[in-house]
Amino acid sequence: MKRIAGFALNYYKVILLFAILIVSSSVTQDPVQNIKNMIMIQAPFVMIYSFGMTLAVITGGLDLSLGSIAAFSTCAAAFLIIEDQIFVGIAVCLLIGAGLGLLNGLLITKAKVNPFIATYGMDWVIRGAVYIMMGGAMIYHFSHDFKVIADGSFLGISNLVYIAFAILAILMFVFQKTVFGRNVYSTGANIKVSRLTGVNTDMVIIIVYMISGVLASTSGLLYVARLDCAEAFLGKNFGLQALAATLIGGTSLKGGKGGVGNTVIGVLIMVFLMNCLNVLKVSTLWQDAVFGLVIVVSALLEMAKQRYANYLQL
Amino acid sequence: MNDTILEIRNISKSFSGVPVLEDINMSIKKSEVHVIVGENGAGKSTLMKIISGVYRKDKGDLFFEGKPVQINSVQKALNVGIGIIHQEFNLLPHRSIGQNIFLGREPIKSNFLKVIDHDLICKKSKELLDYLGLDIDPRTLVYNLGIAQQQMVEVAKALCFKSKVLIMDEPTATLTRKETVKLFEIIRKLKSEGVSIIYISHRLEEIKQIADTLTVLRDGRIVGDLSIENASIDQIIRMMVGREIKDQYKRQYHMHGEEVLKTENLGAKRFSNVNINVHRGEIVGLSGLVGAGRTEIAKTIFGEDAIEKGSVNIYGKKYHRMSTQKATKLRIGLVPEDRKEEGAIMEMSIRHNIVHAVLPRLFKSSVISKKTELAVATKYMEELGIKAPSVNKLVKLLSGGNQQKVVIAKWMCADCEILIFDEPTRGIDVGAKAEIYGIMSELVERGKAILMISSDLPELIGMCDRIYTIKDGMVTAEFSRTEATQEKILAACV
Repeated sequence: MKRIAGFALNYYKVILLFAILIVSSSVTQDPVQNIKNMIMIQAPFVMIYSFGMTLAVITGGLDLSLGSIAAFSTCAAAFLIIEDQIFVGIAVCLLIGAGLGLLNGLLITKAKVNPFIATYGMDWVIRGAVYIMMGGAMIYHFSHDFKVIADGSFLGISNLVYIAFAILAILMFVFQKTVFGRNVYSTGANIKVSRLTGVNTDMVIIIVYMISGVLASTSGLLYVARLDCAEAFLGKNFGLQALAATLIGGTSLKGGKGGVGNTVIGVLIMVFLMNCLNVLKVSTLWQDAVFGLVIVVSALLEMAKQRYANYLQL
Repeated sequence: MNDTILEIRNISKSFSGVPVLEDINMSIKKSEVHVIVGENGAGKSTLMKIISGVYRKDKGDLFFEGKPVQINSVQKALNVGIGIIHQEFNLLPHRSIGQNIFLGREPIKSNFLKVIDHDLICKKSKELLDYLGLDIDPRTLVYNLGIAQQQMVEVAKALCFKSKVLIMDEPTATLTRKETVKLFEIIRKLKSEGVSIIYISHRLEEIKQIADTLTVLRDGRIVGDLSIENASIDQIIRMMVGREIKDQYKRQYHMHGEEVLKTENLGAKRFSNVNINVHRGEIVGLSGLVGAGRTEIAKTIFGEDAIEKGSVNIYGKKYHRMSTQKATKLRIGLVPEDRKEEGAIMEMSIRHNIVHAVLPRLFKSSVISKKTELAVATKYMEELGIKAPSVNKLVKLLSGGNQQKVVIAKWMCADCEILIFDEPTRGIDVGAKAEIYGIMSELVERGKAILMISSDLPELIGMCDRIYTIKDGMVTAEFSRTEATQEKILAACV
């Protein structure tokens, strides 16, 4: 009994993932196509911006401005991309993402604004700026060369998957194997000790928010390529979705723990769950509630795991 | 024994195995000012916290007005009639004086709606303030008040409970001379109305003015009760120190090397005009009471606090600005007083903590090789005798002494030339203390320079080549190893 409980607590995320898959597969007509669709098309987008959130959470903060950064940077870049200046457009998009991230980072470290307030406030400011910039218009009908980034596939696997996993690999390397990555974790775990050990904690935090901004722009760009349309409303729910995926994945809001690897599982649980609710024809009115429940329950399970770690010999 | 209001019998207390109070017996008489003195860490505050219900005692009994009482919470102590004014005030800055005085027991208008009777609060607070001779509107917000006035609010709070025993922990530490005189007037007034005051202070000169009886604590024991008429300040100091300097400090004294650390008229928030220097192969001590500015000096040298005046010279080069990054690059290391919050990352492993400072230098390409990291961490763990099953154990699971060794290992691993130790042995058991002294001695043997802050005088005298005394943010004296005695140092500190 003890062993079963221990196993269940230790692998509850994987168990949850399979449980959702089994339920959704049992009611869909073509389960393979359904799963393929989720992993190839839906998950990569969510993953990329959730990674940004996860990194911010590891430093002990969070980044609620992801969605508006994605909207602002892609809309600005769309003006160039529509003129077939694809590479310049992409570069501008990522630079704007980094710049807005820098602004977040400066607010948090130098002006010492609480990360929640800083990024939440910035979210409104940036979103407002996109509305003004776009004035209700949309930019669409991009060239094939641009759209292929998100639409194309190689060896039967969507480009999105390659991009998401390339980013995952880079982030895993940087955050697990380099001095910078180590300093991000130590800053999140205890900023005072880290500073008193000579870590430039301000710089660490600023760079993390810049990376977060770049990731938001990247996912925004892929959305625009996929939907063939840049608009001011893009990414309205990025921030909260990313936070949900991060928390479900098991990265602690206290900072210093977790990682982008955990978030992959968090994103998969989230995407599978949304899909499952759709195929089960659960009313959209209920979907939010179920979704929230999963966040709360996964937090409780995470706590139980820590509390009974010794008892269950995990 | 009719006039005894509070009697303390055989009280003992230890924190994680380290005894802080042993077998304390004391009786407080009705309407007397009973002063308790002792060095830092002698156990005064712990004793007061037991009496006022903040801590639980391990052993012993309390008698209030002849009857045994169990005080297991602050609320209980207040109901019995014991109030305490802590060194740090417990006031809500954005509430009014009246709201603070009646916090948690606001009078209500009717039992049904439980509406707070603000008029009554105002009226009663005004009476209390008048009694204390304070002409302030009780509706004033506390953050608008000066320190002395805030203290009066604390006194009013205690009076409002009709406390028969009022404990004051270092009440004059932050007051000016004039405010102190005022406080003493109030103490005398309270005394004349039958309130007993337990008064803790470091300032020996003011004790003479206010005390009736005096108890000296040292290392958690009572070393003497005196009536104030026949006590001299010299005698009190002698009783406060008294401990023999044992032979656990294995120092060997050599010629010193060049000067590596020097401050020139250094000034910052809590201190000014500090001129000290440290040579290679030398341990230099900073002595002073809590709050004298010792830790602030250390943190300013290390770049955590900003330099406001003067400069810090490292290896002969002058710096007017310092940061922790610059300091660590210059191979300065700080072993802070609060090792749980500032010394080591409790939630990370021994390995992560040991290599933390050396990372950028060890891995120039920025890519961490786990093998090298493991080898380095294991080497220092063995060298310092950190007792743990593996380098991957979380630091929070270690004992205090081993945690401290992890912090020291971090700086040794980073090959620091100048080390600042702030209370390196506080809260550490005797065995680990000796080990830490051993490590420090070896470091100076190897030509490192050490600046050491400690409240433990025998330790300071046993370890240091020279000792500076700090009082109110100023260096008051400098003693060489041969001149230093506990009496002389303490006299320069108080």
